[in-house]
Amino acid sequence: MKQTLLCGLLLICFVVFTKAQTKQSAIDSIELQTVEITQTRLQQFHTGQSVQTLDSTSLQYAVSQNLSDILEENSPLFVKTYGLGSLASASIRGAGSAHTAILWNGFNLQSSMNGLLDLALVPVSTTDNIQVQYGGSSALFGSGAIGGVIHLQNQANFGQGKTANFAQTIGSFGKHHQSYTLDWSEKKWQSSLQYYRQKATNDFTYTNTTLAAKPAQIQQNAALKQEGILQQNYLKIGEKHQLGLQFWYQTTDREIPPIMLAASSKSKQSDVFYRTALNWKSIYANRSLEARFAYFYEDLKYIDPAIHLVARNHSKALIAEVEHKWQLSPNLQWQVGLNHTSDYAKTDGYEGVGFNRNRTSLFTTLKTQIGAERLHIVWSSRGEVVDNKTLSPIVPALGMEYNLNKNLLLKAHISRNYRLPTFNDLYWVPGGNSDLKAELAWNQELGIDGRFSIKDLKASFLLNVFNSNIKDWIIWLPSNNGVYSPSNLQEVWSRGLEFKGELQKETSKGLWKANLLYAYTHTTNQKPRFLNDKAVGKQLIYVPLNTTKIGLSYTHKLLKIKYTHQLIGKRYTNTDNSNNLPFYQLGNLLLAKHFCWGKNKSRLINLQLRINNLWNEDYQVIAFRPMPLRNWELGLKLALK
Amino acid sequence: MNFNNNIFYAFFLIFILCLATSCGEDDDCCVLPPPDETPLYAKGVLIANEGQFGSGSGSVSFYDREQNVVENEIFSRVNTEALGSNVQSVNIFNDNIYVVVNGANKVVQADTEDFLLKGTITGLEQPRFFLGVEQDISYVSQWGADGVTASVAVIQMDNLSIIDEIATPAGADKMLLVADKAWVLCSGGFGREKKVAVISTIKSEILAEIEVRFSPRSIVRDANGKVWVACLGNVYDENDNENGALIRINPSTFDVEETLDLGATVQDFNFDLVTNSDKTMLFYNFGGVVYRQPIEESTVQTTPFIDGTNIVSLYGLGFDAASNYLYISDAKDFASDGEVQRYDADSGAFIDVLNVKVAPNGNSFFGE
Repeated sequence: MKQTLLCGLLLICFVVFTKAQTKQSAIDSIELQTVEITQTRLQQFHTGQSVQTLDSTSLQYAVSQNLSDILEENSPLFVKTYGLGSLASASIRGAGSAHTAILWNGFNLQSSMNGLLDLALVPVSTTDNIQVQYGGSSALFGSGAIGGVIHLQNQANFGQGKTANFAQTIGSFGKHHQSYTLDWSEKKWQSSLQYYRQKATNDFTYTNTTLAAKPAQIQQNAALKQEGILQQNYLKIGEKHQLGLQFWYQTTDREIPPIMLAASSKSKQSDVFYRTALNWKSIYANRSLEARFAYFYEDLKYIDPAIHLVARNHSKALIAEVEHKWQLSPNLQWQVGLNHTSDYAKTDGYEGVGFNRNRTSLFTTLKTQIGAERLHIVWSSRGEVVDNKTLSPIVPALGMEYNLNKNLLLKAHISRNYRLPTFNDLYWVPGGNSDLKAELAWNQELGIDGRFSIKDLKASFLLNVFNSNIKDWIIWLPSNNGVYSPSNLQEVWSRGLEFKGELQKETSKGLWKANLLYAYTHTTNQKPRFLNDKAVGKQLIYVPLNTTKIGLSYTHKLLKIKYTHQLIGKRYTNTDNSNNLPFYQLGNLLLAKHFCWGKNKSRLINLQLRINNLWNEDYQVIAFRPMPLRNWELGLKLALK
Repeated sequence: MNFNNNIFYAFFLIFILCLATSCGEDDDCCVLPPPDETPLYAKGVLIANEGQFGSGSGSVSFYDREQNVVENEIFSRVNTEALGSNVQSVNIFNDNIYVVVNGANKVVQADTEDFLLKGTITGLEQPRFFLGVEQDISYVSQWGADGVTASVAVIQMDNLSIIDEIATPAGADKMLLVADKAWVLCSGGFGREKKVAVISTIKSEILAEIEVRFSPRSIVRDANGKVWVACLGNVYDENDNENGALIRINPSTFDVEETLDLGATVQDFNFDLVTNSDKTMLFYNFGGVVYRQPIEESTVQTTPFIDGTNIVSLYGLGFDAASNYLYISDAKDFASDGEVQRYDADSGAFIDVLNVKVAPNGNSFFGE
């Protein structure tokens, strides 16, 4: 009730404020700085940090894929995937999976119960733009943004008329994927509807390395069925206001396969969510005002008939945010915002009791340009009140960028970041610990970006070195009385570098592209968590020291060939580094051909073939979770205007 | 240690058989056998490491008393394959090693000389413990696929096939051979149970079901031949309190003669009960510490025998008669290598630490 009131209050404030603004802006001169003003918080204030935008073409060719697939191939991240269609999460810069904030149109999708979002449940078709921000960013994006942030955006696209898209993909192991999109946009409004569904049996053959005979076995109990709807509406009111409304529903039923060592599994999991988001943006001569509201409703059911287990989880979130930006002078921007998030979760694990958490945070940013835009400095800060009592630490951030010359850009960023304990950490029975503090981290990084071009050859590179110290990291440890309990005991030091290099050559014969992504992540436990802890000074589990991704592509007129290669270093599976999984490499190949016809060639057919694991590598990402050998997908896409 | 009886009987049986065969047909019966006739892996201590839950293989470690060294992950090295998820217990019977692998639904038979895989008992559902009964018969307790439809599988040893399944109350677990009867703890499995099933090894059927307290988890025999059962009590329902207890049963009448109430339910990961060499003293873990209880005393000891300050996660307790040491397993965080701490069973003095693998439990086998 209280949160509803607060949200209502925020809305009223917004409306009143907007009206006041309208009057004022009429008098204002039209000395527009709207380019800066209309940018998102990420675009405008990530100064000093490294942000990777997955190019829109890779998204186009990945209609049938999910977020984990596309990040695996196109980012230096190591994606922890438990198998085809199974749980997947990403760790950035050695931090934990729950230290990667995942924002959908600015709203954090991390579960209030366990801090995770399953990347395998995010279809690429539901997003227009994916960006990966490296390094902590709690000052801008709040709790959870310690290792980095993945941004998923839907974008309005006015004046396109009526379009219809149909995509169908079939592939190995019973994969079928379909998506239908209807889109109607005029000058002032847009409305689109996407329906998608997919299924797969995932009954691939693998070598069971745990058995003496190393027999070829067929993966059991791994089927997946998913369908969803994404409905989006955008409306321009006058010249200054824009309204956005998104509704996203998805249901997924998955079987949970056994690990290689176990004989069988009959477990199942179903995930259902409804996500609604409303966005209202007003742009004036030298200021902008934005209000966002979201309501998330999620249900998760886990069934294991073998042990008569039915576990139900239910969670809700209500988020309201207002953000105001001013262009104080041509070289000075100021933003201030208020966020209120109300989380609710209920599960058998809390003995059937539902818990609420209300948090309100105030955040502000100042950005300035000095010396004809050669030096950019951004300072931001956030403070949060949780349940009207605990004040989480104030997290500041300072970022700088300096244009050395037209080719080289130097970057520096320092930030303090945090993550609040999850509901499971606080309330799980038995073990939950309501005395937990927020995890705290200091992150520092230095970077250099370079861009060069000689005739038809373009080259760019990016190099970042980082250092991160995470304190009070919450871990669940067994205690002597037989109960696992979480505590702020872990201290982690992560340091390393990321390199991205890209070469591009465009001639009349086509466009050649080559890129190299490399990450070195040395992440160690710094403090004994218990007596004689052998993990001190050791690399965290499932954090590979080296990951390398290579991409080669050739595009000519309507033809595209793309090859990607991933090299993933060994991962320790034990905290004392006594066991590890070996290095593996994967090659994926994409062949695509477009056919156009009609007026202005506006009708299009795209035919594509994707071969995954081209070299038939027998590998495991997570111990004893089998992965498929060579497999294929054939896709057909039809776009009508 | 509940194994001592099986072991005693097993060796007694072997001894008799050896006598019988060697005297019957061997002219060299008076020549002394070479001093080191016992196979390597029967001479020390075999320790079961359960492995990382759900994500790792269990293993068996061997402690060689003579050399004072620990050999880890023997099975996977010798056989180039992993044992599988959750190594529950390890045993030696008739010169063969038997490793019960709970999640992989199998019992592995390996050679005591070299640990090479000899055979596998399959067709089991959540097997827990192995008990050698006769030369050609053994029992494997199992929880069943659903964790409540429990039974004892009767194994024909020459071909490792299941010839019978004796249904028991839920959660058939540790077993103890007392003369021609196998006592089977019915711990409830994924449900709740408070019984000990007594099976006639001759008739292969249940003779009696003795009611004890909820979740009987460990069973031993004392110097007077009495059977002791350690129960967790009711840890499932706060409104239906039942404390953990050590319960003494008369093996002839099946009557409960004594119940030593522990004053609280036992929440420990494992609840192990062992005896010293002359079986006059009981040792058990409770609340992360170890208590010593003389069998003749009718009140429970309140001062710990070993206070547990050096133990992170007590995961098992064993007794080695050959050295008179208590073996306390410390599973640490269950994600790194654990250890076995050794203490003198008379003084409680700390002796040393054996470094083993992930999640060592107390279901070790102590060789001669």
